[in-house]
Amino acid sequence: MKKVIASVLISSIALLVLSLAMFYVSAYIFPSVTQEYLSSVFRTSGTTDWLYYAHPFVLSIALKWFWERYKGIFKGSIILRAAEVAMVYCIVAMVPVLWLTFSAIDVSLPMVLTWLLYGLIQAFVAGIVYAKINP
Amino acid sequence: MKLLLTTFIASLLFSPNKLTIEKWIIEKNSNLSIQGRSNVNSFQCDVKEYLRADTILFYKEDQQQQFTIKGGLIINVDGFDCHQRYMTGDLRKTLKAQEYPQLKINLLSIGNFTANNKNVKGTMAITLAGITQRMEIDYSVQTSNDGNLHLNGSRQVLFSDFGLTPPHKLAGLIKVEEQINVQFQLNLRAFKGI
Repeated sequence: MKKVIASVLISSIALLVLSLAMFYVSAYIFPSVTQEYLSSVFRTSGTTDWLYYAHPFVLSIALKWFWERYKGIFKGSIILRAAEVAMVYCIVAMVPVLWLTFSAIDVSLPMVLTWLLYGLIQAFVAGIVYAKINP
Repeated sequence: MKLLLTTFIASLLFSPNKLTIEKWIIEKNSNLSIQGRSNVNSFQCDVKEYLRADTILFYKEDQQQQFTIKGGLIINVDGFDCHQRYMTGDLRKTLKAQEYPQLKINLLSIGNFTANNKNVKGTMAITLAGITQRMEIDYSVQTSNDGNLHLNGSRQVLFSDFGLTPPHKLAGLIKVEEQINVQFQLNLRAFKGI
């Protein structure tokens, strides 16, 4: 149980740092895409800000549950297992949700693709943490 | 009372200072732009066409004084185009376009510009989102061959000057800076009517 809590905490903190780093990297590489967050479809900062900072914890718990249930089917090295978890997460969860998001909300395709990339990288990092701590 | 009135009229008629009045029409190709920055990129929003053919009056009492101006511009806030769909919508929302659809600029005065002195100071009153601010403006004045006058002005303003809050999104990770630069070019044609 200790290991589970430790891996979730480590993964959550790693994903939080990673999400902030990815924001600043994307702001540097794709400033016009990042500026799109100023669109009125996004909430103005305020009382719901904590939800953004809590998302790595939610994602870590969800991926931890997924890992514990299906880790037996991921074979190979830590990197390979993490990459496979990331691919499964993207195909099963990210693509359908982003498809729906793009169809319903006025956001550009490049922005949706950055979210897909974020999701892939986040799941890969969480996969590395879990494959290392709870193989 | 009669004596007072007679003295007042006489003082106007025989005043040593000659009052000059010039009437100018604001051409529709006049334009106004706002330049700003967020923490990730810069943006510019323009009003390309000024469609109202308003007139402004320049008053001057002698050659040394600055001109007093009567008149100005009324611009529809919905006329701003930021060249990025999401920015345009956001700027209109920030400027409270639904509540206060018009940006009013009243020109109040301008320094005595000549062929040798093209950079002068002036004052104007800007009304935005229901708040009026009197501001000093740096003008560059140019006269074209056809006698038209081109007033180029710029001024740094803060969103907070007009009680507005610059947009900030994504839990504060992306925010627009408080200071924006307002630039305008007023193309004026001399009114030759009666």
